[in-house]
Amino acid sequence: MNLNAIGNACIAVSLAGSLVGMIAAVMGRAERGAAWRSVARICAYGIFLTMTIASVAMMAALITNDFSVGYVAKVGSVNTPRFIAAISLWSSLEGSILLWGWVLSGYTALCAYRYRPTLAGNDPEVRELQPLMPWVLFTLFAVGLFFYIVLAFPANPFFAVNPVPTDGPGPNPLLQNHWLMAVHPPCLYLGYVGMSVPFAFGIASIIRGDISPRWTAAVRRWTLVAWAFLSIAIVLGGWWSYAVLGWGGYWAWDPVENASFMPWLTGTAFLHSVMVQQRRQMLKLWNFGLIITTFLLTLLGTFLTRSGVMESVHAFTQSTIGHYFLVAIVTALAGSVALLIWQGPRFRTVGRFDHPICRESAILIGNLLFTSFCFVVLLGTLYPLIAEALRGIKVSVGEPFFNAMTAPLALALLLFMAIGVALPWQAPDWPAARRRFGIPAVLAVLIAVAAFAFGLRKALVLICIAVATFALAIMLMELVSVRFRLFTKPRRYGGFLAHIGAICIALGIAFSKNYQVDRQVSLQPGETMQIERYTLTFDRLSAASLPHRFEVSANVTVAKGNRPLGELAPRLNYYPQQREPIGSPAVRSMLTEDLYLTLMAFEQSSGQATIRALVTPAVSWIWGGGGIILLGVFVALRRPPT
Amino acid sequence: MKHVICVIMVGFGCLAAVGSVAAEGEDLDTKARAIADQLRCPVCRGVPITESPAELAQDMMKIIRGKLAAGETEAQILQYFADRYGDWILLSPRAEGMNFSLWILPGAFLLGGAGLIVRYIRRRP
Amino acid sequence: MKRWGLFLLIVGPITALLAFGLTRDPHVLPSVLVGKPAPAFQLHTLDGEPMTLAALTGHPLVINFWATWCGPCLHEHRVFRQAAETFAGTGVRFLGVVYQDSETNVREFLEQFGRPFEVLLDLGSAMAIDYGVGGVPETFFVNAQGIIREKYSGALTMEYLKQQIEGL
Repeated sequence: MNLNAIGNACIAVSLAGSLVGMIAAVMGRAERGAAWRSVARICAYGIFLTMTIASVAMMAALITNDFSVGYVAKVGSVNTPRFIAAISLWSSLEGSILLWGWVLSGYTALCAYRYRPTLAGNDPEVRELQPLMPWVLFTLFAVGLFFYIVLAFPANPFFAVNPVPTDGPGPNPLLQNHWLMAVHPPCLYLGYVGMSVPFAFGIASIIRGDISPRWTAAVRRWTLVAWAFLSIAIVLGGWWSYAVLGWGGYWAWDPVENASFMPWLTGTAFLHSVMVQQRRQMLKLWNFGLIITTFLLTLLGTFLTRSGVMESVHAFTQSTIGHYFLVAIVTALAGSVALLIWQGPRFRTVGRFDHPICRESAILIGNLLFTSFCFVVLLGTLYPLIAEALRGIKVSVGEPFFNAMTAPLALALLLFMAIGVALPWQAPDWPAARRRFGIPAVLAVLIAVAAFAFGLRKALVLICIAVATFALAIMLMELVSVRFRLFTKPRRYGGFLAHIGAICIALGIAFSKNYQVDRQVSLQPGETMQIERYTLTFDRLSAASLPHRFEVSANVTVAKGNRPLGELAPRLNYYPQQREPIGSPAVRSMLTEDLYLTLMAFEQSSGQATIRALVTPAVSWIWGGGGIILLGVFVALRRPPT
Repeated sequence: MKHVICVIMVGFGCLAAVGSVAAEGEDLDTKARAIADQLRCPVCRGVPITESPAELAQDMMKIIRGKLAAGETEAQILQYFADRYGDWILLSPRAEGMNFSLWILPGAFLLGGAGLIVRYIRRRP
Repeated sequence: MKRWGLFLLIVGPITALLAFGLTRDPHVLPSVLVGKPAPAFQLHTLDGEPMTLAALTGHPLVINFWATWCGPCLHEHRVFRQAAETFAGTGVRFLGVVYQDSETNVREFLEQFGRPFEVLLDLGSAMAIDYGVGGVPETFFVNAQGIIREKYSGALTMEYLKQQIEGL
C-alpha cells in the first residue's frame, strides 16, 4: 500500500473541498440557499475525514518506519522507540503543519455540526446564529485552504524518496527526552488553531453587519476552549523547558515562547471585555479587534518561528514556507482591517458607563494592561528585525528588557484583577466596598511586612506578595460570598478559580526568579557537596546503552539535614545524530522548593562528575497554578441553569 | 471607599520604598552574575550566559570574574564584550538613538490607551 | 479617504517588515572586528613554545578556530593541508587555535590527519572570546599590518580560502 499516494490524495481532496466549501458557503448566504449550505457542511465533514485519513496514514508510516514517505525518512529511525516515533508527527515542520491542518478540519467540522440547521428548532443559540454560519464556514475554509496549499506544496510530508533509505536520522533529540513532548505540542495546536473559530465568528458578524445577543455567549465559549488549551500549552512548554533543557529556568523570552504568549494575552483580554459586551452591548468594535488580533498573532507567531526569520533556541524547523505565510498574514490582516473600516460604523455603540468606578472600568484598564503587555512582547520580539531593516545593525532584545518592562504590568494586572472582581457592575457600592477591600488591604500589608521581617528584601517580590495576598483574599472572600454556588454561578466560580491559578503562577515566578540558589562542583566518587540544607553525595557514574542512545548518569544520594531523601540520577544522553549530549536533569519537586541536579560533564578515567545543583523555591506553584486555571475553565464552561 | 484606596496606595508605596532601600549587599559573585545576566550566550543563542551550560559561557563567566577582581566596572566589562561580539551580545540594548523607542513606544501605548479609556468613560451619548 | 489612510498605515509597515525578514538570514552574524586591528594574544603552541601576535606581524595570517569534535572542521582540515602546500614559501602563516578541547584529543587527531598549521592551545577560551568566536569553525583573515580583513563562519572551501589570501 502506498502511503504517499493516500496522503497526497487526501491533501488534494481537502484542498479542493475547501474551495468548493468556500463557493458553497457564499452561494448559501441568502435565505433560500439551503442546498448550498448543506454542500458547505458536507465539505466540512468530508475534509475532516480526509485529513484524519492523512494523519492516520502518517502515524502508521511513522510507527512502521515506512521510509518511502519523505517525512519518515526525515525524522524516523529504526532504533527510535515506537511511542517516540508516533509523537514525532510534530517533531518537524511538515508533520506539525499536517497536525495543524487536521486540528483545523476538526474544528471546522465541529462548528458545522454544532450549528446544524436541524437543531435550530430546539436550541435558540443555533437558531440565532444560523444566518452567520455561511460566513463562519467560509472563513474557516479559507484558513484551511491556506494550510492545505502549504501541505500540498512547500511543506508536503508525503513526498516520495528515491531510493528508499533503510534508516533515517531519527527525530530531534531534544524532542525524544520527555513525555511532555507528547502533550505540549497538541495542546498548543488545539489552542492556536482553536482561535480560528472565534475569528471566523467575528468576521462573519462584521460581514453581516450585525451582532446577535447570543453571539457573545457562543464566541466566549469557543474562545474559552481554545484559551484553555493555549494556557495549558504555555505552562507545559515552560515545564518541558525546565525538565529537559537543563538550565534550571522555564521561560527565556525566546521568539517561540513569545509567539505562543502574545495570542494568549490578547485572548485573555477578549475573554474579559466580552463580558462588558454581554452585559452592556458596548465595546463591540474593540472586541472584534481583539479577536482578530489574536488570530493574526497565531499566524505571525508561526511565521516568525517556522520560516527562519527569527533565530531561536528551539526553532526546530526551517523552510521556505515563509513566503506563503507572508501572503496569508497580509491577506488576513488587510481583509480584516478593510472589513472593520467598511462595516465599523454599524457597530458604534451609544451606551455609556453610569459611573467611572465600576467593574467595567476595571476590565477596560485590565484590557489596556493586557494589550500593553502584548505590545511590549511584540516590540521586543520584532525590534531586532526593525533595527536591522532601518539601521542595518544586529541587536538583541532579551530577558533583562522583557523582565523589567513586563514585571510592573503583571503586578498592575494582578491588582486590577482583584479590584475588578470586588467592584460591582455599573456603580460602586461604598459600604460594600469598605467591607470587600478593607480586610484584604490590611492582610496584604501585614503579610508583606511579615515577609520583610522574615528576610525578603527585594522590592518587586515584596510588592508581588502584597498584591497577591490582596487578590487572593478578595477571591476567597468572594468565593465564600457566592456561598459555593458552584452549579448556579459556574462562570463567576470558574473565574475565581482561574484568578487563583494566576496568583499562584505570579508568586511562583516571583520567588523562583529571585531566590534561586546555584552551585556547581566537580566531585570524585564518594565526595559530597552542600547546597542550602541539602547534602549531596556523589556515589558513582553509571552508563547504559539503549538502541537509540547512550546514557551516562551520575548517581547522587540526597539528604536534607539528617533525613535521607533517596537517590537522584541526572543524566547525559548521547544520540548518534549529534555530538553535544542532551542532559536530563533530575528534579525532586516539593511544595516549597525544587532540588534540581544536572550532570554538566564527567571524566571517564577518574570517574569524576561535574554536577550543577539548583534550589529553586516555589517553581512547582507555576505548574499547579496552570492546573487550577484549567479547573476554572472546566467550571466556567458549564452552562448556567436558565 | 476613597479612604480604603488611599490606604492601599500608601501601603504599596511604603513597601516599594522599604524594599528599594534595603538592597542586599553585593559580593563579587553576585556582581558577576548581574553582568552575565545581560550578556547573550553566543553558542546557545537567546539565553544569558548565566543560564547556559555551554563551556564557552562558563569561560566567559570566569573572564567576568577576573575583570571584576582586577577592578573593572560593569560598563567596561559590557563594552569589552560588545567590542568583540557586537551590540548583538547585549541582551538589553544600549539606551541610545533608535533604541529609545523600545522604552518610549510602550509608554506611549499605555498613556495613549489610558487617554482613550478616560475619554470613553466620560463620553456623553 | 482618511480611513483608508489608516488602512495603509496599519497594513503597509507590517507587510514591509515581514517581507524584509524573509530576505535575511538570522544566523549570519558579521564580525565587528573586521577592519580593526587583530586582538593581541599570548598562547602556547602544542609543542610548548610561546607565541604572540606581535611575533607574527609582517606576515598575512589565517587564524582558524577549530576542535576535534566538530564535523566541518575535519572537512576543513583537508582544505588547510592543501592550502599549506599551495602557499608554502609565500609568507602566509596559518594558525589553528584549538577551541574547547583536550590536548590528548588534539594530538590524536593531528597524528591521524596531519598538521597543516601551527596549533595553539587556547585553554579557558581567552583568545576565542577576544576574537568574538561563537562556534567552530570560524576563520579570520589578517593582513600583514595586523588588520582583520574578513571573518568566515563555517567550513571553508579552497576557492574561498585562495581568494581571501590573495586579497591580503
